[in-house]
Order: sequence, then C-alpha cells, then structure tokens
Amino acid sequence: MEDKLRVIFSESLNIKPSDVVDELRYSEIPQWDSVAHMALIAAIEEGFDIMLDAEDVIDMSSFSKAKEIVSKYL
Amino acid sequence: MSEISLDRQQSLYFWNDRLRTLGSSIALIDENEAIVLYADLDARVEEATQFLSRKGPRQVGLLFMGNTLPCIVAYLACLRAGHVPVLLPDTLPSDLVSQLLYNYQPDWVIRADQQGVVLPGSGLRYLEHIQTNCVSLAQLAPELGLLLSTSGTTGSPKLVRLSYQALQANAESITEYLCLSQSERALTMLPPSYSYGLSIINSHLNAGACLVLRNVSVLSPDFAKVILDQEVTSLSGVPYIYQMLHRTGFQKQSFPSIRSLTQAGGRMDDRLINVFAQLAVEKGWKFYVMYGQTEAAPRISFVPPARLLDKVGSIGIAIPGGKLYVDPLDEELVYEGLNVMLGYAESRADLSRTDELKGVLRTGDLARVDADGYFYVTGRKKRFVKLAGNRVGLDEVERKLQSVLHVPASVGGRDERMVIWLEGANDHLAEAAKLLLAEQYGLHHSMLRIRVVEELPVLQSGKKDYVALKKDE
Repeated sequence: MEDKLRVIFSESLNIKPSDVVDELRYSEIPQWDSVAHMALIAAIEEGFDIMLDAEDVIDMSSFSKAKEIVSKYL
Repeated sequence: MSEISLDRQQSLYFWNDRLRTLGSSIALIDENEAIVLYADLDARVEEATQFLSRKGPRQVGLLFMGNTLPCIVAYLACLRAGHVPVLLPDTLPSDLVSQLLYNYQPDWVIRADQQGVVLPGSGLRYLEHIQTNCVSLAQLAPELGLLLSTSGTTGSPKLVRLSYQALQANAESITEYLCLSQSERALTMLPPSYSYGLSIINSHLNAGACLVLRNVSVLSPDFAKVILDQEVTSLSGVPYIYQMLHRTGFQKQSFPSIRSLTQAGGRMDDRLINVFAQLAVEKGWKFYVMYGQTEAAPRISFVPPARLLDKVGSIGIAIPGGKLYVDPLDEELVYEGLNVMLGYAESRADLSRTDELKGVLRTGDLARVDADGYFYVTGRKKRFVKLAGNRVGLDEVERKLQSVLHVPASVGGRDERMVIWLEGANDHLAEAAKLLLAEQYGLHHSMLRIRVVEELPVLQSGKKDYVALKKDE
C-alpha cells in the first residue's frame, strides 16, 4: 500500500518518488498546494477505489498521515 | 501638480476622508487577530501618505501585496498620496519582477522583505529604484490611479490602467448590489493583487464594513475556526475554491454568522452552482454568481440571488450604474460604465496616455441575452482560459512550448482545463510539457490535457486549425 501511495503522491505532486517521505507536508513545498491537494485526493480515491470523508481530506496534511488515513479504508 | 490637489479634494473616495468619518467602527481584524479601527487605519494611512508625498507628488512604484495590515496601509496611502502602484503578489518570480522594473522604470519598490527604509504607518520597506534606462519619464496621466496585471501567474508585463474614478465607481456599485453595510465582515480569501480580491477590500472599506485579514486555506483545519471565531459574514471564491469547499464538507457544518457567498473568476460548472444555490436557500444565505474582468476594476455583472436557480449558467445583469449589450454584428459582449479601464500599458511611456476606451469595454467574450435580459457567455474571442481563477494566454503558452520543446504546438481548452497538442512521436514530450508548465506558470497537471499527435491539423492557409482541435477537447 505504501509503495502504491508513494507513486500516487509522486505523480500527483510531480515530484520524484524518493522525495515522498513521511515528513513531506502540505504547503511546505510549492508543488503541494491546494490545487495539487485536490488532484491528489482524487487520485488516491481512484487508485484505491475508496471515498474519503471530508474530514480526512483536510487531515491529510503529510505523507505519513496519508498512510494512516488510507489504511483505515482498506 | 494641480491635479494632485484636485484629487485630494475628492473627499468621497474610500481611501480619503471616508476613512476618517468612520472613526470607531472596526475596519480590520489583522493577520495577528488585532482589531484595527477606522480611526487607527486612517492615522496609519496618513502617516504613510506624508512620507510618500515628501518623495514626490506623483510617482510609480511596485507594491508587493498580501492580505496584511502593512500592505493595506501602503496601498491606501499610495492612492491618497497620488502615487501609482503596480500591485503584485509576493510570490512573483524574480525574472518577471526584473521585466517589470525594466519596462516601467518605477520610482520605488515597497515590499516586506527587502532592504530600504521603513514606510511609516505601514512597516513595509520602501526602496528607491534607480532608473536604469535614461528614457525621459513622461508625466503620468492625471486620472491614472492604479496598475494591475491581467493574470496572476504568467509573464506578460502588460498592465491594466485604472482611474481613481473607476476604483471608486466599482466599489460603490458592489456596495449597492451586495447590500454591504457596516455590519459585514468579509474574510479575505483571495490575493489583493488579484482584481477580485482587491474589489472585496475596496467595496468593504467603502461600505465602512470590516475585513478579516487571514491567508487561511480552505483546506486548513483553521478555516472553519476563523469563520466561527471572527464571526465572518461572507466568503468569496473562484470556482476551484468552491470545489474545495464542497469536497471538504463545508455544507455539513454550521456557520451561524455567514450571510452571503460570492463567486467570480471564471465560469463555474452548473452542477456546482446548483449545489451552492440550494445550500444558500436552505441556510438563508445569499449566493452571488458574478462576472467581471480586471479591465473593469473588475465587476461587470451579477445574478441577483433570488433569480439564481432559474438562471444557472448566466452571468446575470449589469451592475448598478453599468450597461451591458451584445454587439449585433459579431455577438461580442460590450460593457459600459465608469469602472472601465483607461487602456493597457506595456511601458512607462504608456502611463502618460489618457482615457482610450471612454467607458466602453469590448469584453472579448461572445454572448446572448434571454427574454428576461439575462446574459449568457457563449464563447470567447480572445485566446485565453481561466485556470484556478487566473487568466492564462493560450498563444503565450503555445510560443513557450514551441521555443523550449522545439516541436509544433497548439494550445486550446476552456476554463479550468487547458488542452495541449504537441506534434511528435516522443513519449517524453508530454512529461517535458507538464514540467515546463508547472515551473513557468505554476499550472498543476490536473488542469491540463496533453496529447502528442503525429501531425497538428492545419488550415489550407497553413495556419493552425483550432476548430478541428476543439473537437478533440
């Protein structure tokens, strides 16, 4: 799951897979802005065939948080 | 110099005496949550005005703006002192700043993080700019008050020349149709260098209302907290902000202080308009769908909230004081009003030009009007799309792609989606285009559709066939 999520992050944010680390945080790099965040959410939902709750869309503020959130749905 | 004293007699402008008369009302809740009364704001603006006036009667400068008290003070002081600012986002790439410095030879730069002296009353730094090319600096047109870029992101140094009268007229008109009173509290959700963001500041100060200066993202957990804590009464957004509000469950939360929502900055899809129109009915809010252009300072039309559900997809009717019609010859939408710009500028010399449009703006949009007098935009004459609220020139992007990727390119699309065709057989082309557009224009690839084709369609004349490409959007 983590590898698949890393690929989705890398593609949605247009950054290298190796830059997708636990500490990667929303709005701390220019590539992860609000527009990219919405694209990321859509890609995660499609990739894992899940529907994220509204609160989780806001809570998904780092890669490590994203792993935690996505695992709830699987 | 006589025109300066004349302007300063214009006591009814919202940046002049009007600030003074509002005394103990709250003008701003600043970025540190401090309360700023109109009397405090006026005193700060006056202090900064005195400083600027000592530098010269009428100068041009670059003012880097954010939604902060120091920036609002500097902006108002420029208007009061008769200095003409170019309002720019703090995030503007430095190569674009250099281009503006070169083209406009400004007298000063005011921004938060730079060398220079402290601008009294504001706290931003003021730095005199040494003119680098020795062109004679022509006198500024007396009515010129403000310069804005038509696009938040792209590299064009083309600016819109707005008069003092246009700013005041549009602020008054917005105050009227939004029924703004002193009890309003708007959250600043858009950059103040962006005409829609600026119009919220102007209209609320004009109405003696309050602005909550917070750069809080819709996606931040603080967003709901700020609305509740500061008892915000209105929100404003471009289409993608509404998409985010929708996706983050805004509609399921309770915000007792909210009374109205406004939307502008490009066409929002009908489904989303319906969602928020229904929500507004349920909650007893007013939801305003609006249309405008930086060239009109910026507001042109709005849909009265009571008619919204039967007029989804319409840009509405002209704002108070304005007139809209469709040119029968070419179906172009034309707007007339005091808020229309003086014209464009591309260089310092252009700033001496007076009113070239005489209150008549050909919008570049094609439109029709229904039996009730509501206007609908049906197409666009000018080659641009709006992405995340910002205007992006298609020809400019096309030229950039061709010059960097060295392949023929065609760029088309509609609001919120740019479509790019590249001629070639190389799989890496799409990736390279994606990267270039992200770096150069800050465009996220979710707003792009990139197609690599063997041959771009051309007309018999040899020109690119955009109609054929359009079918493929």
